[in-house]
Amino acid sequence: VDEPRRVLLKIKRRQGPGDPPRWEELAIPWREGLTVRTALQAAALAPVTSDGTATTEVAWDEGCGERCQGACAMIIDGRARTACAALVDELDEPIELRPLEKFPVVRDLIVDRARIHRDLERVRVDPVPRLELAGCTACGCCLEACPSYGPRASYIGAAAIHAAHVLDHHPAGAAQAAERVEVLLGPGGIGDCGNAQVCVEVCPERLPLTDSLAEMMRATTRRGLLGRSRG
Amino acid sequence: MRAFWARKLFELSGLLPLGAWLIAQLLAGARALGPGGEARFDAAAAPPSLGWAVVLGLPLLYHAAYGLRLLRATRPNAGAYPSLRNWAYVLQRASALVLLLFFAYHLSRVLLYPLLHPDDPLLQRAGGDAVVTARYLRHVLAGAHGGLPVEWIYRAGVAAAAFHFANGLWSLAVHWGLLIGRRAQRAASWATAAVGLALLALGERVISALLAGGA
Repeated sequence: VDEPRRVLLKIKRRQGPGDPPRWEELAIPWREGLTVRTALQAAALAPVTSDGTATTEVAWDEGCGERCQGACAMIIDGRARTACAALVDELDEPIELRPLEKFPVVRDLIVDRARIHRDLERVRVDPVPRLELAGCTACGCCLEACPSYGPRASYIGAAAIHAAHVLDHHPAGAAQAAERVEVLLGPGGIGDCGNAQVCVEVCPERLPLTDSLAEMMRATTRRGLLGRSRG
Repeated sequence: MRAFWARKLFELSGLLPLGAWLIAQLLAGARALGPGGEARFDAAAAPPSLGWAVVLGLPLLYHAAYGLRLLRATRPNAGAYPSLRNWAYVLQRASALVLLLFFAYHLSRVLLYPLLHPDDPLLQRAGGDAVVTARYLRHVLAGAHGGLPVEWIYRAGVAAAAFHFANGLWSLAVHWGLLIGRRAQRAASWATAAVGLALLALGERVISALLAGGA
């Protein structure tokens, strides 16, 4: 008898913050056009492991499903990306899902990304709607993949620097350009970028992050050496 | 602003005292190339001076301290995200550690040893100080240290220095806002790679020449 095709999801789960992780392999029926997001939704309807035992529902952040919120970002087969844009048929099975590791885990695949928003506020990019002007969804993929960003580092990261650069040149934010440069000159600012340039490779929105970084490096150097922001 | 100047000083110390000194050392070593190299090398050997120790030592200490502080917070991930730039990021840090060890070893051979054993017949006198000779360096390079042939230690040290300087040059240019856009950065990657390869080729040839005894 032909068994219906299944998709295996190997998920790194945690009960709560600080709890030890455990791996669990879930199985869901395959269908055309499945993404990691829709696969996780299917798993939530009937959570069973690959050997057929019932398990608990996996906690994850569904977000919007339209690549506009970035809440569904996680590590999929070793790379930071958004679950809604990851096609199951293009991934190696079992598909390995882990929460972003640079942020505190809340439960299973949910992480606390408050730091991103705190850092955005530092450069006077208030999350909504100014962040949208920059095309950034604050998914955190660029930060997860950055070797210089992490819980032990104060580096602000590519997302905030890119957003700062866009707003510097936008009527909605140009007035605070000088304040942003001051923040980026300071501790944990743009000087901590290590130029590994992984950010631009993993950005789901394909934002020109390294171009923005280079522009802001020019702006901060000019401000620091010559004492003026632009000219 | 303090963080800004701390960073700029880090970049400048790598370029000017340290990078310039690396090139000067390799060019000094290049005297050993070709026929009559040993004599040419020995004639130019100068005794170490306190002034140079300060001009080089302080920037070196600063550059190393700042770099080690950066290293503490870093989480290399070129295994998960293998790209040329990400590997360069890892190698920049790895070569820094190699260089710290190599530099300590190099100083112990060319500075400390002549200071402690001024009467070694392999050394020569210059202005009252014992100074290294090509023959002394050949003797050092042909030896072994902790089971490692010293020739390998030097070849690895020169390779680490060439890479660290060339890649650091690229990174400095980006951080100073001189390389805007992917095309400029890629072109500069090629240019600095050429600088690194030239330094590597020169360094390895100097080591070979010193080992062969100026032949």
